[in-house]
Amino acid sequence: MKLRQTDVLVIGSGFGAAAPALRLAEAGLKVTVLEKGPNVGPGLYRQTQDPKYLMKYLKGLGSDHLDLVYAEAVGGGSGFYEMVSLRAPRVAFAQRDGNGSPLWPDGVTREALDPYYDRAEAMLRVEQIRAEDVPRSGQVFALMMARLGYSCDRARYAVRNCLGSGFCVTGCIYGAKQSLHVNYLPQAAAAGARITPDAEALSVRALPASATRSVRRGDPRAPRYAVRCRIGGEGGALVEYHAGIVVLGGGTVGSARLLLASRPGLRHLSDQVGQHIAFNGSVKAAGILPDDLPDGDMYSGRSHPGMISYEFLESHGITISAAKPLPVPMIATARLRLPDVPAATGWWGADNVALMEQLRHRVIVLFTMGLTPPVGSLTLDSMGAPQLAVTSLPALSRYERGTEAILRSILTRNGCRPLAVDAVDRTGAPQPGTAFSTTHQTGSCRMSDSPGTGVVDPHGEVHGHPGLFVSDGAAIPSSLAVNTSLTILANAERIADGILARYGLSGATNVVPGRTAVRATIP
Amino acid sequence: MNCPNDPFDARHPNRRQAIRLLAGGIAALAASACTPATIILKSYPEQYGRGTAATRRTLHAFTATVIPGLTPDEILAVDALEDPFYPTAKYCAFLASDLDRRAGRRHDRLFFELDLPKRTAIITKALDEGDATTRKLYTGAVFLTQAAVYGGIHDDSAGCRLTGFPGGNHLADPALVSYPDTSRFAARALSRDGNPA
Ligand SMILES: Cc1cc2nc3c(=O)[nH]c(=O)nc-3n(C[C@H](O)[C@H](O)[C@H](O)COP(=O)(O)OP(=O)(O)OC[C@H]3O[C@@H](n4cnc5c(N)ncnc54)[C@H](O)[C@@H]3O)c2cc1C
Ligand code: SF4
Repeated sequence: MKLRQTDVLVIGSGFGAAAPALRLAEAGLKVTVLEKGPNVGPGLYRQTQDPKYLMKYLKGLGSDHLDLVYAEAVGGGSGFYEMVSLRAPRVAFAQRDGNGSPLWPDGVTREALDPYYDRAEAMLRVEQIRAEDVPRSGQVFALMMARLGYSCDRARYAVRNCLGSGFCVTGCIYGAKQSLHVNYLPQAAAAGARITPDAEALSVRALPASATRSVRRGDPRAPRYAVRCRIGGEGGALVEYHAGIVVLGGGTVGSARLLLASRPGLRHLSDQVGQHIAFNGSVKAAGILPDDLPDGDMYSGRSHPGMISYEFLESHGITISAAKPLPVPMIATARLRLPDVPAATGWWGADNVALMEQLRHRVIVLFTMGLTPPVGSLTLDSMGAPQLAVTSLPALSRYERGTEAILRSILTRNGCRPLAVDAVDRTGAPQPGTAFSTTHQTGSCRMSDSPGTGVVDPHGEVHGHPGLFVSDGAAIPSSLAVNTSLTILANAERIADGILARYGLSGATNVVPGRTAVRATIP
Repeated sequence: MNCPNDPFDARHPNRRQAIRLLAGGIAALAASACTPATIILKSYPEQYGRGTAATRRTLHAFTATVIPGLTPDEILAVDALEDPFYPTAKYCAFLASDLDRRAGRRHDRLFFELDLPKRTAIITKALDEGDATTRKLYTGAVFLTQAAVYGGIHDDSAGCRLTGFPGGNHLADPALVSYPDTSRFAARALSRDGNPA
């Protein structure tokens, strides 16, 4: 096996990985970024529904009641996300577990994250959508909320000069999306970071004290960890990296998998690894618009339809948006059916075609994200394959029914004809009972004040393992009720600042929005 | 379905493999990894090999039944059903032979010779009353057919005429993305910047 040295090894290249990679490279450290997925970017995306393309980059992990979808590619989820960039509401940080203990560790609050949200928003050029750019489905949704006296806000996005092609979730071929490919990653590379695609970290091992004794304590370059990797670009060669600082940014699934596989080499690892996965409990409802509401449009304008309602956040812990799913993700998630046709046959054949013909303009899909508890867990089976499970099903199904009732009430009071939305399992068959599917998973290695309740401390450092950090969605301890990426990125910026402070490093911390010469410095 | 070599029989190892393969492949549509194709099923009359005229003719009729109203040119879902990338390729020959067998038993005809209501009834019966494996295999084939046609997966730009899905690489007229009279659609906002809470 080949041996390589680096000061900092960053695992993954998504939101949680990109900020530490950039900031530590800016501080003069030798940074190596290993990304399991293939290289992809604006020149390689396709506007397609071809599963061969989608499956190359988008992966899933499922169980009977929960499906997690995530990207494995350079840039992590940023290449394929809908660019919704929202700060987590204060109520998200105030959540408590069943024993009444706060889910977020001391000191990690909305106020503490706000300066980092500022920085992340500047880097991604996040802006509120202009009223005249809200896609028609979003306009109709806002009108429906207004008719009932409810509020609805224009959402915020990481995009410039969007052409409204509607294929954000297969990658933006026009370079409008401010994914990590146009800001953090090129800037990290310019600062000296080396980013290697098709490179998977397999396990992490703490080096024996003797191997590090010769190096000053607190020296970030002192090799503390050995990370075994498979490098696709070198014919699948096994390489062991020795690094002083290791930052795990493999995502909620990837980082937990890696730590679980590393247990033999990390003696002090908390037994909480893989536990407490939160998933923003999303519930969907759909209806056919009444004649007095204008057409929506599933396929024009950005993938996310522009509007989000916080009306039920304080009362029910949910936000509500409309959704504009492309055909294949829609079919793979749920069967839409006219309520008065039989479940067994209404999902195909002439009845289904009659409904599908109305889908583009006359169907509205409503979608919630909620403050559901962190009750998912990930373990590895004897072959090392990840297994997902969920507890607290009665409470989740009460939440699901209650949320569905709110959505149906919004539909019916607007005169919509509600449709049956039957979730499908991984074989395409209806999935009875409570089932959530999400791209907003967090928390498998959550931040906590003690190793008994989580995996990393409030600074993202693994309890008992100095120099080993988790900076991605895995560290976020709760559901957020809004899309997760901006919070993950802001927290990763905060963790990167903490690493710099811990090792007495001063970095430039430049805030340079993608593809412009504007340059500013956070004081 | 009681022939000892029937691959749909749960006792037959190929049948169990087919179920596993199907589950892996359909999960693929939900953006997960696909189980590599490893089996070759051969327990059907010779004319039903993958890509044979008999198989294609029957799958064509199957697609036209799952999604009535397609023009012959639009029935490209058959290509997806036979594409080795998807698990259906490994059992589409069985699907074709099973459809013809059911059509023969009920109407003394081949499946493609039946009218739409009769074809619909045959698929409905297989989905409703077939054993668990038959239901799974038919469900998977309907599921892939819908994804293929509604998603226009064979051609990035093709889209789907029935649903108005334009496919990729077409820019909508900006005037049609949003309604111009934006104030008509404004709800009460809780914030000025889009981060109300
Ligand atoms: C289709 C889609 C749409 C979305 N839309 C939005 C949206 O509009 N707004 C929003 O806020 N969020 C959205 N999300 C969610 C958002 O993308 C995620 O919350 C975010 O990407 C998570 O960031 P992360 O850093 O935790 O992990 P990721 O961004 O998933 O990055 C993890 C990376 O690590 C790599 N990796 C994993 N394990 C290893 C290993 N062992 N070795 C090397 N590399 C490894 C993975 O390949 C991956 O590239 C969307 C997600 C998807 C899939
Ligand atoms: S809608 Fe806008 S951001 Fe999305 S893919 Fe099209 S141009 Fe890019």
